[in-house]
Amino acid sequence: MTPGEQRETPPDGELDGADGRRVADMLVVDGLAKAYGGVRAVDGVSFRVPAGALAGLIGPNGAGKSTVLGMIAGAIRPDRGEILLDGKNIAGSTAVSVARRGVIRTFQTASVFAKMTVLENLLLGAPPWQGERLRSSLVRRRAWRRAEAVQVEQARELLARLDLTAQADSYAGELSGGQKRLVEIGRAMMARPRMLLLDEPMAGVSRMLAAPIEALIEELRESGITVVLIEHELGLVERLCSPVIVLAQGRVLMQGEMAECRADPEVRRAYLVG
Amino acid sequence: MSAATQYYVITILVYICANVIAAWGLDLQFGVTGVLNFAFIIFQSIGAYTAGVLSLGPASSSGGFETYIAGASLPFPLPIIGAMLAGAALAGVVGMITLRRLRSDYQAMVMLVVSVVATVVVTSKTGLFNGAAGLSLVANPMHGLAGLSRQTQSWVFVVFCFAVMLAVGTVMYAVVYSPHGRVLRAVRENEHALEALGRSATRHRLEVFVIGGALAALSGALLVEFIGAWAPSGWLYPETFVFFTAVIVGGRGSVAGVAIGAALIGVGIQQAVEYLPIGSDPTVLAAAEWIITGVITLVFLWARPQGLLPERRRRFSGRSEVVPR
Repeated sequence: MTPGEQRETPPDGELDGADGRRVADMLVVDGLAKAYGGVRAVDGVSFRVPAGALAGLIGPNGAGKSTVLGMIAGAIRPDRGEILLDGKNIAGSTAVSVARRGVIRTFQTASVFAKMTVLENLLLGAPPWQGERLRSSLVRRRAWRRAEAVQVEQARELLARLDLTAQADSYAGELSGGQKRLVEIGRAMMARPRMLLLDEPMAGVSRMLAAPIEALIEELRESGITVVLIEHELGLVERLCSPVIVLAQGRVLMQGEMAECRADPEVRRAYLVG
Repeated sequence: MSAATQYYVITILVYICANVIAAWGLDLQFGVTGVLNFAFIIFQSIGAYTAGVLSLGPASSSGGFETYIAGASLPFPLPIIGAMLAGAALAGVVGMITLRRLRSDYQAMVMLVVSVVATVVVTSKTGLFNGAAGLSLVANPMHGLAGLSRQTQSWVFVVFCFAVMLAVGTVMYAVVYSPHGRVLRAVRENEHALEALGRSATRHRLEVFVIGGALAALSGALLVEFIGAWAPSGWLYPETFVFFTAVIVGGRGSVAGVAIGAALIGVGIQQAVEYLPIGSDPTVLAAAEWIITGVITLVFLWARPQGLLPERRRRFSGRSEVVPR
């Protein structure tokens, strides 16, 4: 593939899987653009993510990665372009409606509910349910208490996996940066997402916590959740991600395997070298 | 107890009930959900005016003494229910305009403007609620109770106010300590993260805005039925900050704390000022009240922002949330 050219994709929203099987694209981004004043933050970005893949979105600072992620998540309204989720265009949908379609995101700066406990943070990750309605807080309390008890148990199990049992009753704002990341990812897992958008999950994370977070991401991939990951730690991208989409100055430089990206002179020039 | 002392105690108790109910309304908006409603006082006023005109009867019956819209002689407690509906409706309209598109700091500014505009409109349009003179001669609903002395009737009104306050408090506890309350606190903590989890922060803000508006109106209705009069000079925009001080002093998001704050700030300061060695000039006393309220707000924001009785950390015993009693 030549630099700056996107890999050709088969028609009908399908890609060839590594083993020759036809794999449906869960996410198709086509001609996505966003400008802030005169600055084109994202300029005609197109790529595809097969269902069940862990796709890496990499590029130098200011390449437009987080803007692309924000547009997929519904937090930023694109100027033009399409975002097809399972074939349905969700470009311009609100964050709430995108999340309700099973696309859950994390943020570049860990966004926990600071003055709420870690356990409560996880409970808020559970998909919206009847007990959260105003009416439910006044009537049929016994019914929602039973449902909540199940969620509490799930959250406690998840906390144990994240090694955060001891912090269950701590305010999330009192945790270290890495622990906040774990809470954020755990909260996303509670949502039982179909697609997870992770924005720099390793940013500000100590070495000690980097390994468990990486293991968690790998676990997510193995569980069949489609993941789009923005990350500057290229070793991690190489170990986990396929395909890798390289962005620079708001455009897709190339899409392929990390080894191909490393070998590409334009990618090296734009990103890997400086 | 002498008749004068009894009247004094009755007045204090009714004011405490009304202030606590109103402060809970603001606490649900500001303390729990983080909505900065600087127009809060107008919702108490719409309640007072609505209960007033629904009790007074048609304006024509006053012989031109006062002019107002929608006069009716509805039996108790319909004027109070009407007041709550009016408060909720006004909050719905104001909320739909301000809460949907604006950022929270701009929302606060718009609310302040709404409060100022509302005072000007009600003062200048005398056909609405009798202009600057306001409504008067609103009868206490308990004064119709046959066979009881006037004082006993007033005590019955106190009991009614306490019953209403307890009912509102029970609802507050039920809402705040529930999965719904958890979502409301999440709106306050990080609305973007909450929306990324599929919950609409705007919808929840609007909801508490309407409920808070109804509670403010309820407090206004109780007050007007007790004092019998309501005029714009009593609900100028700074009055909102008395309730904010009550919430800050009591503890944002703490149901019991805010009740204490409302009693201390809404009633306590007013009474304490009477004992200061600054004479008895009402202008000086009112100024002293404002100065003390302002200083207390600053001291608490600086030294004890969590308030007297801070919002409790939610703990789950086994699988259930522990609700404080």
